[in-house]
Amino acid sequence: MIQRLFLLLLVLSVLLRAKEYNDTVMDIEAKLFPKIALLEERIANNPSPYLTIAIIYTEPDYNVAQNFKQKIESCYPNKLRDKKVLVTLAQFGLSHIVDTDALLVLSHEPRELEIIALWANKNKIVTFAYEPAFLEYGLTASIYIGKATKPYLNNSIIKKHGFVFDPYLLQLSKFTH
Amino acid sequence: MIFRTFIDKFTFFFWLIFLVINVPIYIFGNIYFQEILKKSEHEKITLMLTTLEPAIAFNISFEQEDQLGEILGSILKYEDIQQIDLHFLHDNKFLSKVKKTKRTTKLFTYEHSIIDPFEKTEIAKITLYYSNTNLTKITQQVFTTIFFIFIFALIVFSIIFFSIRTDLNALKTIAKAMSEYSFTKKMQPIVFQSKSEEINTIANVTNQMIANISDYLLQLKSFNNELKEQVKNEILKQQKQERLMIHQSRQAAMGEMLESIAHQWRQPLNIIGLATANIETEYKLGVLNEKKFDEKMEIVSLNLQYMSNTIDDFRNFLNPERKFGSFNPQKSIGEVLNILDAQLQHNNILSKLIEESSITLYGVENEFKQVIFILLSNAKDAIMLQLQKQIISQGTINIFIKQEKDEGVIEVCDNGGGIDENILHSIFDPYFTTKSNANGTGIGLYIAKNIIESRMQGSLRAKNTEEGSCFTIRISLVNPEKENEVI
Repeated sequence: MIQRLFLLLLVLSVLLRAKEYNDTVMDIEAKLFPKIALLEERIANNPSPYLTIAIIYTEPDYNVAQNFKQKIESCYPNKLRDKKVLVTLAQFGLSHIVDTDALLVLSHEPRELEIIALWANKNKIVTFAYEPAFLEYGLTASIYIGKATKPYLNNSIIKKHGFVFDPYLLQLSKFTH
Repeated sequence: MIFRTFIDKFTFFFWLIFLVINVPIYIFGNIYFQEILKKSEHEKITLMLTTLEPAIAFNISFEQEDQLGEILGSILKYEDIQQIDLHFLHDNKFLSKVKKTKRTTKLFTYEHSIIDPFEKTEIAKITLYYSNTNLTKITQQVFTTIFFIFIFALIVFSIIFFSIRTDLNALKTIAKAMSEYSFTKKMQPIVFQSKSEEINTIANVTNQMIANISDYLLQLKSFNNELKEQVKNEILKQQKQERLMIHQSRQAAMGEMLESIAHQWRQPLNIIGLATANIETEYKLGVLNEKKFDEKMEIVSLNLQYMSNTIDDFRNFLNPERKFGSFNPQKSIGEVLNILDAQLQHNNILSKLIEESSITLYGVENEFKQVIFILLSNAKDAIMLQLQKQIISQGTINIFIKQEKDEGVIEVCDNGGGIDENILHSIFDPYFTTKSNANGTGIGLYIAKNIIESRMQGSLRAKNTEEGSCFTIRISLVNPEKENEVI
């Protein structure tokens, strides 16, 4: 019975393309992604008083994206390094992304991730992946959350597209090739 | 501060310099060095934490506890840091690292706030516990070094001091020998061997100098003796010369005297001659009675008495006795005028003695008379020349006796035409005369000046007046204690 129930859920989840998002992980990422964004030289030197983060989601992840937005906003109700944190939501394939500092990509689809990464890197926009494993599709940074928390940076993308992060971040981060 | 010898002074200043150099080093080391080290230690820890603060802050901000542990561990590697506490303010958690081999020495604490790099708020407080073991070790090393430098300096200074002192002692020996040197004492040569060539040279030169001085001293003694002998001979010669000159002067005076006697005696001789001729005539005529004879004899007797008095005057004048004593110049000058009176009258010279003050002089009266005689004779000769040239018709000699302060002043002034200004400074020189050879020896004024200045401690000056010349004798009226001295 249990086996049947598990199988049913698995089939349903695949069918509905719904993914697992851990709330604790989201909390940590909501807290750290804006900081990592601010440690990128171009963003840090941007005279705009806002740090704009766009959350890109697919239809099934709308609630997650909304939740993420709320978490980030609640983390930084005031300014972070003299910048007000603005979070916008953008649905993959429908929204037109304009003038953003960083992208938080909630997709689990390699193809989608690659497209977003390709576009973001071309426009020199920092991209954050929910899991460090997704960095292999060309996203810039993520956070590994296990026994300890560890920022992950995509070394090849950083080098290739000329992202410059603060040395302290580089010092405490791990890198994927 | 008085230093008796150069060595004392040298020793004092030498060790003073030693102390001046070394004591400040010691004081500096003792007082300031520890402070400097402490400050340096504190600055080092501050610098270390200031350097690590961003890393710590980032790690806190990114919740990198493992990294924080590594950073705190690296801080703990610093020798003097014993413990490090990190207090997270947001959740009041503590992360602490303690050195295993904890020291028992006193621990100092150092607190530092960690500021969030994003939100600029204090997120943690780090507290360091450190000992000064390393500082003490460094201080001890420094003091050991300073001590050895001090000892080394002491040794160097001592070597220099004793090496110089040996030479200075040699100099001291030379100085002592020189200070004890006396012309009257025979001195042994300075004998020592110094390592210093200069000192040996000084000693040798000193010995040579002393030997030379002894030689020169002997030569000097011999020369002095010769000189003494020469001076003695010269003095004797001079005395002989002076005696001769005085004798010549007296001879000249005697010549003048004889002339005076001749003048003085001419009239009484005539009277006596007339009286005896009258007696003879009256006797032959038989008219000579006793009364007439007595009258004539009376005349003869009176004139003979006059002549005898004249002789007495001359004899007194020429009396060689030189007895010091007080005398009245007015009386002395009067006697000289008496002697010359006949001559002066014969030559139509009027003499006047004016006593403005009554004074008493001290000296040998006869010598004073000789001076007055010389001055009057010279005045008479000058006037006679003027009379012969008919420049004047009447000769005058005025003699003034007066007192000016403590001096008796006698002025002999004439109208004899004065002395040529070109020779005025030479008239008192011996053998200087303007008279022809027959009339002058040139020693009168020299003798006169000599008597007044040497025998009566006075002065004799000559000056020209409108009519002639004036000789001024000034003699102190303070009586020196030479009463009754006979030379």
